[in-house]
Amino acid sequence: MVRELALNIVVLLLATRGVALVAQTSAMPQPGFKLTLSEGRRDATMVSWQTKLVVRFTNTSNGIIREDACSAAGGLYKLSVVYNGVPVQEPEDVRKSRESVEAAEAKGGLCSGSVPGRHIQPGEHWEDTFAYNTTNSGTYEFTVEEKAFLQEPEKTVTVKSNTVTVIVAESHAGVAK
Amino acid sequence: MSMSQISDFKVLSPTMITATILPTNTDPTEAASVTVGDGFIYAGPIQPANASSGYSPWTNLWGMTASAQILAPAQIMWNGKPISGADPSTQSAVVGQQIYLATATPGLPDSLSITKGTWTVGGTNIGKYSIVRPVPGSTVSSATVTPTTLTNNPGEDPLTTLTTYWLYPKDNVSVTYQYCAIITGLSKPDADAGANCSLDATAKFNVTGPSAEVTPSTLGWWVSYKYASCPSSPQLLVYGTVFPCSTSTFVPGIRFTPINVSNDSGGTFQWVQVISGNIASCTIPNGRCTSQPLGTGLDLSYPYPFGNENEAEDTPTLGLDNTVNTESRAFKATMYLEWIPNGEPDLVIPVPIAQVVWNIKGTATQSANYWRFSSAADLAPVSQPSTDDGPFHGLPTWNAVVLKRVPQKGGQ
Repeated sequence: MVRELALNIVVLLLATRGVALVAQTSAMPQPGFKLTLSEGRRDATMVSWQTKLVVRFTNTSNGIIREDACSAAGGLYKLSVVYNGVPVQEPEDVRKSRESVEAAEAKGGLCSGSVPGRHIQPGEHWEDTFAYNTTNSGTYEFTVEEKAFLQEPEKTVTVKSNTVTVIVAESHAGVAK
Repeated sequence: MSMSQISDFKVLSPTMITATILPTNTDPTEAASVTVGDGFIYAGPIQPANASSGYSPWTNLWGMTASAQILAPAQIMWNGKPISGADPSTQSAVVGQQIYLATATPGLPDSLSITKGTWTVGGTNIGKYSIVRPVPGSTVSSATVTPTTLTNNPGEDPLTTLTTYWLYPKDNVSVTYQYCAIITGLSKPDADAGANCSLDATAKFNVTGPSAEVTPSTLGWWVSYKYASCPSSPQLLVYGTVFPCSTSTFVPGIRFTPINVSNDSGGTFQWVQVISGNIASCTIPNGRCTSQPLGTGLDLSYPYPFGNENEAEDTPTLGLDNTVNTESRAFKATMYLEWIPNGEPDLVIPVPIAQVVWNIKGTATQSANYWRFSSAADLAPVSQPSTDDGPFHGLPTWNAVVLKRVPQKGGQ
């Protein structure tokens, strides 16, 4: 019964992530979301050699945004890191994993995993928390980005967050594996 | 020399006498011995001394001596105040709160060298709960529980402080502290017998915390429809109801709801899910299909991202591949409800409240490029309060994080 009811409302006015539902006045479509990065507060469970980062995903479109199995929990985020002024190359396995998820998202969310229940109305946001191994002392600059319109390659644009700078005074090299 | 106070003199048996000796602050390490003189003590049942049982409870102890332990107890300090002593008041604490205790040994001369400090802590306690958080794209993550450090090893600095967290509420929890020192002139047998160690300092705590149960409600398996308007979208084997190629409302396969919540302490609840079984399998015509492990460990991130104070939910899915005949997904996980007390984040940890073990398996069958649900083998989820069983005391632990997977083309 629930499923039948749900099917009847399947094509209601709901936004696909990165697709603006309203007609845009400019030539370029708007991504429909923005990313805000901040440093998370340390807590008693954190290991000394990690830094916590919090990404706020804000719905700037006029429709609901709901995650799918690919985008869940920040699955489409790319973290860019500059360490002491030198860009850190994204690890090969991380790049491949991210690109495979992006490709699956472009095909309609063909990922195995958990489909989350998170959805946000216009103006609302959700947050994802992750970490980075800041094992060496120095200055780290973090930026997070995500591609919008993955299902329409000709429109694909990259949305970037602000940059967060973290200065690590104490080296933990050798501690982290 | 000032005089120590002696009280509670008791004769416990023909060979054992106890007494409480309170050294003065100005001379806490004075040497002492107990000498019994002038006759007999009685340590037997009350009866005439000339009873004819053949057993005499009277013992001649004249001239016997024994060394006495007279190192004064330390003071246990919490937030700068003493909380131990002859009649300590019971302290209030909450589960998950960092308890940092220090000690003071007033009056000890500088010449006295303390070599060892030993704590005993009642209740279920740990020293640390460490979480290596997931880094994007990496499967590295772990959570480990470290026992409370209760004493120092020989050669190490004496342990004079205690850092611990209680995990479960309990009244009248005792914490004791004893130190041991090198005392010049003390015989080895006496030192081995503990005569070089102080009397115990004892503090008492009432540890409070919330309680709750978790009710799971399940929906079952379903295979999503194929939409003509969205030809590239795959069909999904879903525990719950999902609509690919749209973002419309769906119903999660399992929903976890806290009930009977008793919480007078504020704080926040959170969820953590740990996957212990996670396999996709398939069959193909006239061929062999290999099961594909989808990973075990922490589910996606810490804490579990798809929950709030009122509920958590999960909807496991499997993208269906038209090159195979049947596809199945087996999934087993434990969802933990945790609570974090109010306080500075670096001074509190989450504590376990309740957990639900759930175990499901669904299968879909394909014919003419169209998938239908064919069978399920689900076990009823088991919900229970968190318990102190095992080395991790009910806290979730893991050695990896499970990332979302993109099915391999061609089936496996």
